[in-house]
Amino acid sequence: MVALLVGLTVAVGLLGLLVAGLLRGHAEVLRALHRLGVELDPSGGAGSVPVAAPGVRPTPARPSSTDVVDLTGSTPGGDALSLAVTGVGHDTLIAFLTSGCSTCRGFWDAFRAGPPDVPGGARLVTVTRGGEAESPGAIAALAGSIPVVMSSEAWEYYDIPYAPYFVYVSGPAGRVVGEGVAAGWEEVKQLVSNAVADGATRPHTRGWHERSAADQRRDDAVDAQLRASGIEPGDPRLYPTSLTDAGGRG
Amino acid sequence: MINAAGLAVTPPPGWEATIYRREAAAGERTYPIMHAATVPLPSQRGDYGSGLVEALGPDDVFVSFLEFGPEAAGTPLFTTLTAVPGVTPDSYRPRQLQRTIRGQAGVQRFFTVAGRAFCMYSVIGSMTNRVVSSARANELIGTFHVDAMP
Repeated sequence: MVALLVGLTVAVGLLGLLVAGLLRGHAEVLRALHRLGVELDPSGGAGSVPVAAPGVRPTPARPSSTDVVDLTGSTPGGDALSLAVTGVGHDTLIAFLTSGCSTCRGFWDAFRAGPPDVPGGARLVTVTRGGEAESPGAIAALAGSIPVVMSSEAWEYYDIPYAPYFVYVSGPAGRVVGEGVAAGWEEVKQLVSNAVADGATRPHTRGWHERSAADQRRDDAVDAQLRASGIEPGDPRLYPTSLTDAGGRG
Repeated sequence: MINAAGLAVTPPPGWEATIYRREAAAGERTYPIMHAATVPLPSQRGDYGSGLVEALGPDDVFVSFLEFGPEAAGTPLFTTLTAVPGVTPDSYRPRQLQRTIRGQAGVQRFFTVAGRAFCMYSVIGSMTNRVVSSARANELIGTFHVDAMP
């Protein structure tokens, strides 16, 4: 009887130690995630504020912000696809999403509702893991008109730690100018909007097309006035073929 | 490099490319198509680049390879050329466009490689820049590879 009691006491003690160890490990994981900007507590306000500030995250796999590659893979429909994000005139906001994570679902829904407005005019592209990890049919059902590239190689190259994760690439500069995680599309828009306002999305580039800050400010002011008048890039009114057209009498 | 349907292409820096096959309508048969451009590929575009060529700037280039059926491979139109054709600055003509767009120019070539018949169709954003633009087109065309159909 005594031996049984001693055995039970030892067993309870060991279990207590095990539980304490698990709780401590859990707390350390939460602290680590918190340091990375991920808030798992749904009551913690993650739905209303960005959970990670934008910035470039050096990683062992991608130590430099200039480690940028084009997005090559397949579409959910099985077509081969390569999208250029570097060496081009436009910026790209890459959304790394999965079909399974609940937070990603909100982004899929937002993107399916129609092409979202990205501050600064960057092109929005969604990247999922490849066909070996994701169901093309499931991705096709989630995808809207936003380009989707299924590429595990892109996830590995950009060293994506979790989903959803966003990477902003400056095409002219050929480098990552911001990355992070957010709870919803509105937060992403806010993060990008702030970065655009700070000038972070237009890093200094050297070359033939280098422009002064004054020129850039003038361009931005003209672009803003045109947009306010409902004239977007490519609008036919920007390319009159005659003086009559230019005068608006055609 | 991307590859599908026995076609492969390696987009040079600044190029986008896709190899796709349009969904067939009832009674229709479709064949693989490769599109490449120095502008973002829009999701909605025609096989000959409508919806995309309108976005070409003066320095931009569009290249497409459209496969035709096996019955075309033996016809005179497709057997004159038996290798993937390159382009020269003067091969671009303003009137060789599916739809004339002011300033742009196009070129079309038919050929057979590995027993498969293709049409190569390319558009440049500005006839004035055809020397540089044709060189850019050749950078892409030189990476296009065709395997024999199994």
